[in-house]
Amino acid sequence: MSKYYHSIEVETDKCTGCMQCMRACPTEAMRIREGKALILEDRCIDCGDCIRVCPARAVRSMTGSFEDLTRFKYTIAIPSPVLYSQYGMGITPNHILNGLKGLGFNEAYDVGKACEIYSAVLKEHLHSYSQNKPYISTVCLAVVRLIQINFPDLMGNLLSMEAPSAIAGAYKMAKAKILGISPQDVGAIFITPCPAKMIAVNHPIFKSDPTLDGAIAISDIYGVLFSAVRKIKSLEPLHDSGGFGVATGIPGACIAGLEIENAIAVDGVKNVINILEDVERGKITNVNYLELWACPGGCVGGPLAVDNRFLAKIKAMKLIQQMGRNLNINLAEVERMRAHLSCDVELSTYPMQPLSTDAREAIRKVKEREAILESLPRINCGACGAPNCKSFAEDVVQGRGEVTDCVFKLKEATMESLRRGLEIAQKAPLSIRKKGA
Amino acid sequence: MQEKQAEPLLEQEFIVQGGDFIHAGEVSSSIKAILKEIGISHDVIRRAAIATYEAEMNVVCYARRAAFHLAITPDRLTVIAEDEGQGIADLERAMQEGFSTSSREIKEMGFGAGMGLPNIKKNTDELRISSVVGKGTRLEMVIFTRK
Repeated sequence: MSKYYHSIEVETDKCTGCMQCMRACPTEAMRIREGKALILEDRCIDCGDCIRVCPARAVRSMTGSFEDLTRFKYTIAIPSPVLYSQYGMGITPNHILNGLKGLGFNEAYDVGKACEIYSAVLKEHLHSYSQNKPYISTVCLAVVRLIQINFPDLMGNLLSMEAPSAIAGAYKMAKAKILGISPQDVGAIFITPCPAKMIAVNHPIFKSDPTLDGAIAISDIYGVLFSAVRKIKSLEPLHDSGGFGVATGIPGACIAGLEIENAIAVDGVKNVINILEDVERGKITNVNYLELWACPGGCVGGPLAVDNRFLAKIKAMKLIQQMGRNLNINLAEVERMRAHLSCDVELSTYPMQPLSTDAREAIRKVKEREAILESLPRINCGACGAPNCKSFAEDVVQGRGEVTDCVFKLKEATMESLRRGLEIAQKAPLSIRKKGA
Repeated sequence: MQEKQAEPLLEQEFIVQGGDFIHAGEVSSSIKAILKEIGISHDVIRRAAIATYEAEMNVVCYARRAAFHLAITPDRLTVIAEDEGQGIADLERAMQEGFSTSSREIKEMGFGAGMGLPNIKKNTDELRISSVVGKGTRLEMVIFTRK
């Protein structure tokens, strides 16, 4: 099993230990220790819900910066189509691509075409696959992570398809050849609405080699890009794709566009967990395809996106309308690109570990955990540094804390020692003790 | 006849209320979570989750309430579901795929396809059913944890 890569970290000097992230985390991966947030790495799925709620801006996505550009001789910006919906309608996708060039990228690649190819291959897969149903989309990497950790049995339902940005990566290889330079000198940098995209950069799930060389957060580029767009003198025609690119970031838009039957789109980690539990218990029998999104509202709701997700969605829908809902793809191009989307590695899982590798010891711990939980107030106050009493009880049996870390248990222990102290204080030497005292 | 069993390493009791469609599946989820913590193999967990869920649905659709009893011994896990309900008149037919006594109402809700008991049978290694019409049904589902 390869090492599990993460794309979120806590900057401890900024963290105030306010517990917002711990309460928001859908997989109970956050703890507060010594006044600072701590990520339990084996539970984190990189969804970024913690980034969204942190008032101190201490939870940070490990995306890169403009300095990344200096590592390469030639750089290609690959903006997530979410970027197209982040500004007013006066700023078109073409303005954005031109603006990115103005920021110092040698080229700006419109991922819309790649999304169309992706969609064509997806539709074909849905007809021809013979794996476990319902098929599960792999567009959202945080969802893939969730399945790797909490639903390893459903790995066989995942469509083994790389994201459309893999096609952009292939474009980079071709570009290196044209330029006569080494592919290592060409940097494909994704402009991302979510931290999980860093997984594709540092630890790809479906490919042996990364197709992207870096990712910069939309929130980090938003302001400078706006200035760059305003400075554009003449617009080069860089954008020529239809609406599918924008649709790949909106839950249900692709399902509608591709007219996929018996498919549902589910967004938000908790909702995704619920539907995956239903799949696991065999409840979902008449659905062929699940499009799952960690972020409420899909990619436009990404923790690194800037604009209000409801406004961004309205803009995205208008863009889809303007750019067209049809797939304008060339079949020969699909054939050429197909291999870039296919998975070339065996998928790893990182299942939650049992309480002990020895079953008897694990059972003993389950019982102990239940007994501790029974003795706790179960009001989930969080003062112990765990999100709820159940996870605190588990932390105790796993040696990550002790029972008196619970303020109520501490109060009980203090009361008990006071009571005993009082009992002792009331004693008196025999010489002066009154009868019956 | 019941063979002599080792003393369970872990036992838990759950209650399922008839007609409570909203919470149907919670026992299955709880059992799944415990099995994961103990380190039972994924295949066994999956089968136990499906069998328990189907049994829960049977209670929700056809019974007033039921007690689910989970027992884990070194070589198997057993879930006994004992309900107070209408009981099953013809067990042999109930085990056939597609046979259902569900009302139209239940069928319209997407249940009662006659797959419950056959699906439980498919996902367990041993299944014992006893039922008294008008009283209730007792399901004993066994899955071996050692190959």
